[in-house]
Amino acid sequence: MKNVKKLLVLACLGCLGFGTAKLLKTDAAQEKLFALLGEDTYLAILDKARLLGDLLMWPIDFVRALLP
Amino acid sequence: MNPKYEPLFTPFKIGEVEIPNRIVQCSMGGTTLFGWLEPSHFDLEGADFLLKRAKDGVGLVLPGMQVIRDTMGRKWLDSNRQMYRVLKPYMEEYHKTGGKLFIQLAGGFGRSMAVTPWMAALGRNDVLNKLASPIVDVQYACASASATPNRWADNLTSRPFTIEEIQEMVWHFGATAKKLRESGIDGVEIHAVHEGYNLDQFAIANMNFRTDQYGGSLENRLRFATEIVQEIHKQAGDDFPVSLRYSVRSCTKGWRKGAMPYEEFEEFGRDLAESEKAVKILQDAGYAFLNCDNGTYDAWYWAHPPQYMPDNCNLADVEHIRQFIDIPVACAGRMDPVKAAEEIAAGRLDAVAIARQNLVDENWVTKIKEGREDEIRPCIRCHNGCFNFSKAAGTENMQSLGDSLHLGRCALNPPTMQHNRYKIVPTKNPKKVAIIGGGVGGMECALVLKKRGHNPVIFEKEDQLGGLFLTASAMTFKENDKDLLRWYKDQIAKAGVEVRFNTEVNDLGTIKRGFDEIIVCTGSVPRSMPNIKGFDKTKSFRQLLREKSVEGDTIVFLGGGQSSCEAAYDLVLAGKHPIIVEYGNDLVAAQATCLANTSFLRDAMEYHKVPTYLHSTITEIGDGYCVIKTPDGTFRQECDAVINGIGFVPAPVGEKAPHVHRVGDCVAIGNLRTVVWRAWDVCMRI
Repeated sequence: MKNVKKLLVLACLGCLGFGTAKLLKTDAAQEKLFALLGEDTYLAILDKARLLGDLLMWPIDFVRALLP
Repeated sequence: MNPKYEPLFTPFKIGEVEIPNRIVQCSMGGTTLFGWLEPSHFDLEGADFLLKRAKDGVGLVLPGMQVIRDTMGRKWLDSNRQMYRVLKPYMEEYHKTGGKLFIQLAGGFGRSMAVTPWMAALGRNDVLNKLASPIVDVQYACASASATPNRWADNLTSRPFTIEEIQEMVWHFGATAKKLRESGIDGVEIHAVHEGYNLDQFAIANMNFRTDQYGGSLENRLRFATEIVQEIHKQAGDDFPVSLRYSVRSCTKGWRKGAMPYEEFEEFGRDLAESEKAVKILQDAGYAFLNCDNGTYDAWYWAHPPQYMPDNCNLADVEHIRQFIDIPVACAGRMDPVKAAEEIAAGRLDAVAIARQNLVDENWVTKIKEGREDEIRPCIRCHNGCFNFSKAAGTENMQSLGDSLHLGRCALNPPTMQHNRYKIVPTKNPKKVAIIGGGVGGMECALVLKKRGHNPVIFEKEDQLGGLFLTASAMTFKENDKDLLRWYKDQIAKAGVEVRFNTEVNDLGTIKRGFDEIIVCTGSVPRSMPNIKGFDKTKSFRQLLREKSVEGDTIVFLGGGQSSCEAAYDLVLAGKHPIIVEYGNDLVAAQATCLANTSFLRDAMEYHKVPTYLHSTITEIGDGYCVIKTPDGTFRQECDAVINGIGFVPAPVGEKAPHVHRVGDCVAIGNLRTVVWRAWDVCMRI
């Protein structure tokens, strides 16, 4: 039962993270963040986030290539 | 369409495959269908870009080079079955455009592998390399015909491929071609006897010391390339067309030494006489098309010509070797479409291969067809976004990781190969935006804002647009830069952007009330070094290049960056005698500038015997002289002027505040890419 609960919590956190990422990628959210953080901070974070996203794709591509 | 372009729009055949016109998009690193440095996969960004090129009307598209075995992950290109499944419907969509697509396959980089510091460290250490080898085997990635020095890293030597490794690779070329054909790909191009890549290292006698069947005679040195085409025909069928990327001449004087376009020299690589025989052997082996240029990684400015190289720089050599074969031939390298059309009409050339123009203007073929060629945004051959592998003395490849992952982007056109990151989204809340400064940054901001539906107004202190770029584009060989400036001015006029000339804004408060947002694009000013006695006597690049108010023959440059070297080269071409004094250990030691550009400038300074003092500085400037301090001593140099080439500092107007933004060199000193991309980053979110 404990394991099921843990899995549920993890699934909820995953969905929340995915939803937040999707939301943050919308044009409206980006405009708001830009105004809120200021362009220098916003662009610095954006740059790092893009590089992180690119690097995360490596293991994903690697695993995808192994799929039948 | 202007009739002078008509010969470009006639079909031709490669083997049995008909190409709808004579325009070939050359492979450019990063514009790949199966990923660049990542493990091979179907790359959605590359696929989108390539499909758009076909829709624009490019007859034959060659996506970016695909190494037959992944550098990262080390999987063979034929092993990812899912990738080929996705490829099939893509090609069905692609063929609706009428265009054709060949995949360029390569046997790796060999000694040309642009290793970064961490890769060089792995490559030099057998134990570390072994440990990392399941992910990246640097020694394999750098392996070559023979033990030869790496182009990028000192003290890193390629190991020779074993015969088993060569034959394993040959088989995988065939297996990959078979899968590509089954997925609807029209043909393949082998990145073989070209530009000093791995297979070219087998072909060049001075890079191949083997004594087995892959070394020695010309036939043996070309054996790797000939076995590949034969294996492809065996596995994919005799009628599957195989093109060859081919460098007619290496234009190389030695390890890391290129030859100037007008230089007489002893060829270290492949010369024209050997090329005449080589093309015949390669044709007889089964290659159906030669896609040609010149150069090697040691003479990179031939294969990736910067603005300093002449237009059509490889054409004469390509047309020469065409006489020795019967298969069609394309020529690449700063090709002028009008000249190419003339040559095709005259029967001296079969197709024109064009690369970087496809990045900077996604509709350039359509614009030619519709007689709107004056609307084509020109490529300025800066390589800042598409190909910024950089190196100076004592460094490996200095390129940032982000750039290594994303070649094939464009300094002037941010949506290229990143169309989801940079896009025009119409605004729901149109604003009045003041742009302070009408340089490239200001004009790019105005164009992006206008496309989004905002109302920008440019305030320019001079009586013309261009800002600092008016000086940067003033040199005689910067015709592309001048074209770009003309293009910007035309676009600003066509977009109906209001420009208030002769209006200098020193206080943002004076315009704040009339505008919702302000973008400061006021650029930079020359850096000052008042600790140098007589520094106030230095002249600026503006005075030298734009105002032409600096007279005399002997001009000393304080600083050996790109601006100084370009200006010095301009003076050399005018018959003058520049001298360069650089504090660092090399000229143009900037991270973001491509080795193709910097190595030309370094080689040109050496060829023209421009006195260059490294690790040196100027300690005093007087009337008609300066005092130069070098590691070997201090001396007085008679000169007519000293140019301040020590760099620039940002010169923003006003303070940072809400609704006040900064773009370009007034944020940090960069290049056109940093200016243009930041303009988009800011203006997409206003």
